[in-house]
Amino acid sequence: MRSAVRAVLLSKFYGAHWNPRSLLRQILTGKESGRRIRALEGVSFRVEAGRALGVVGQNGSGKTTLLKIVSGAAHPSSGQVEVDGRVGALLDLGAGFHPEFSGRENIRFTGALMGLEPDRVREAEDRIVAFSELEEFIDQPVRTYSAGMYVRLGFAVSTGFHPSVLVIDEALAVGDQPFQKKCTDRILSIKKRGAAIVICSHNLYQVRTLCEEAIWLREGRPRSQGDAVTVVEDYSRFLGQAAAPRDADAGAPGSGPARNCRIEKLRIEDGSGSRCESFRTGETLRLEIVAEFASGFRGRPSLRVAIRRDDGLTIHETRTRSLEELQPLGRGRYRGRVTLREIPLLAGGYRVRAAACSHSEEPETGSWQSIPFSVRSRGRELGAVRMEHRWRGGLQPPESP
Amino acid sequence: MLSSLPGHRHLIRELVARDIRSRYVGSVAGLFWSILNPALQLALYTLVFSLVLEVRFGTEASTGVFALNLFAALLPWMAIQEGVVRSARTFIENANIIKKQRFPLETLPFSVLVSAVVHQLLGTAVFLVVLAVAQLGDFRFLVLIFPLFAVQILMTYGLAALAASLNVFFRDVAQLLGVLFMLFFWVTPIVYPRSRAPEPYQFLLSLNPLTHMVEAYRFAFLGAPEPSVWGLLYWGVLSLGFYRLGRFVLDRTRNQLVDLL
Repeated sequence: MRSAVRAVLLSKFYGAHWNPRSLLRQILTGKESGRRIRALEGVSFRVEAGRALGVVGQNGSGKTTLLKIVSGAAHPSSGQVEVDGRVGALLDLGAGFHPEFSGRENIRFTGALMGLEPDRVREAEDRIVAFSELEEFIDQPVRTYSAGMYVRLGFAVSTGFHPSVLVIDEALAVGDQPFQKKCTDRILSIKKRGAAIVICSHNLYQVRTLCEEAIWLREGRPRSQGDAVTVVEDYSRFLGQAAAPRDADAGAPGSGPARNCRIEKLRIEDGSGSRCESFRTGETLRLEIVAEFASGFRGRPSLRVAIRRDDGLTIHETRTRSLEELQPLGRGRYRGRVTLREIPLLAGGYRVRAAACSHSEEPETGSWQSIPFSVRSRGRELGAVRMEHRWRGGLQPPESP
Repeated sequence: MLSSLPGHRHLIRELVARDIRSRYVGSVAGLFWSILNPALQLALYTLVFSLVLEVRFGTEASTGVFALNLFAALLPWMAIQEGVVRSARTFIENANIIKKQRFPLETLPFSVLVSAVVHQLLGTAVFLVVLAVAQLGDFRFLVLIFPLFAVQILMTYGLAALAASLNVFFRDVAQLLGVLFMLFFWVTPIVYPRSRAPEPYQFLLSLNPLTHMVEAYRFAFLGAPEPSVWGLLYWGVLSLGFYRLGRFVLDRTRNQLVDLL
């Protein structure tokens, strides 16, 4: 099968000390001079029609540069990229709209830019307006739009002209939940219709669900490439390690607003009691928390612990019910230990959070301390937690209850 | 590069419509301003050069004849100036759109040029009506305006592409163009006939390709004096040269240019 996107050894360099004059001289004479900064080097991949490639990596790793090159907005310093058919692109959280013109005029302009006949553009126009939910504002100048409206229109336009290749850079980080859901559904349906998709996202869960394959870029070079589940796992393990030094200051005194109680220490361990930030599904996770309740503290001391996925979803939260669950250390200090046996969490980035507060009150927002940790899993299940399940073939008789 | 333009005709039409609309959007008088400016220039130059300084075209000391000779030259001059000067900033002004998707850069200076030529055509229509009413026109060689338009567009496009690309690297280009166009306005026989210049300067004026263009337009609308065929050939060859140069520079710089926007 012929791939819809073929990239061969793409590299992009910027001159370290470029100024327009030396750059122009270099372009016209063809001679290169001076130190160059690597934005991207040696990236090759193929994306077949109906499949999606995810690009992951930290900020400044070259994700945006790669997406710009694939969409044709930037040119590689060396290497080649070939793209079949019409490209819909949503780069840098916004389409290229002219602020003085209305949403409708900008839709028509983008259609013309994508090379569509005017009557095809008019056909698509109503669908685009409906998707963006901007019926009331579509004839107002785009400069009057809020950031959310702008992104909604951008997403609607870049996906609205039946692109055969869709390039999306982190666009789904904005917009409210229902709209994000709508965008994900739209990407899936475009993919199903046979478009090739290249998407970059910090949301690893999304990359895992949307994409068959992925590239992890580190400092412009592909660090890991292939099956999306494996690449995301490699990358999240790396993130877990990179985040480790941060937990040193998790319980640093004076790190939050002045109050009567605080978390003094938060430590995350594996089943054997040694410090750990990387777990596998089904392993045991232990927490040690030390909290200090000052003399001015009113109420019954209590500790809370929560596990959150890195997109903010609380998976589990628990609190102590009585002082007997805590070990007194004297002078208002208490130690709490929690053991989470056989954690069912699936692969991804998570944080464990802890707060000290009164038994009957909610903790102050700033009083939470947290440590990141990552989970790897071997299977191909998606979601937040693993649930015991079994697939059964249709020919076998059902088990009696 | 010109050959890629038909494929982008819908985009160019959008760009031209957008350009013309953006000039009048939010202004009360709208189109009036684009007529006022040339009309005022025409009136002022006629007042100063014909009435005060008594410059004359041909033998008659007629203010009307002066105004028509001036008008014939001013129309292409303003189209070239507008096309080139406004093109210089077009990549920078449209950076937001260029950087967000694949964009055929050559359509931007071309659409600026088209919108200037549209204004020139409107002016030419008015001019032809005036000539017909005043019965001062000589339309035997009017058909000449078609090749003249073609060469003028070729030259403007080359200069516009050159200015647009270079201005991304050196923002001084737009400033420099202002100075150059002022200089060339006076060393092109627009407000005076070439014959009025003293002998050694007549030769210098003939080195200016625009001299021949202006005289050819006057010939096409007003009859005599006949332009020099060699001069027109010179203008044509130089225009082709400008076109090739502009195209070369834009093609060589287009990949890096986007990174600087």
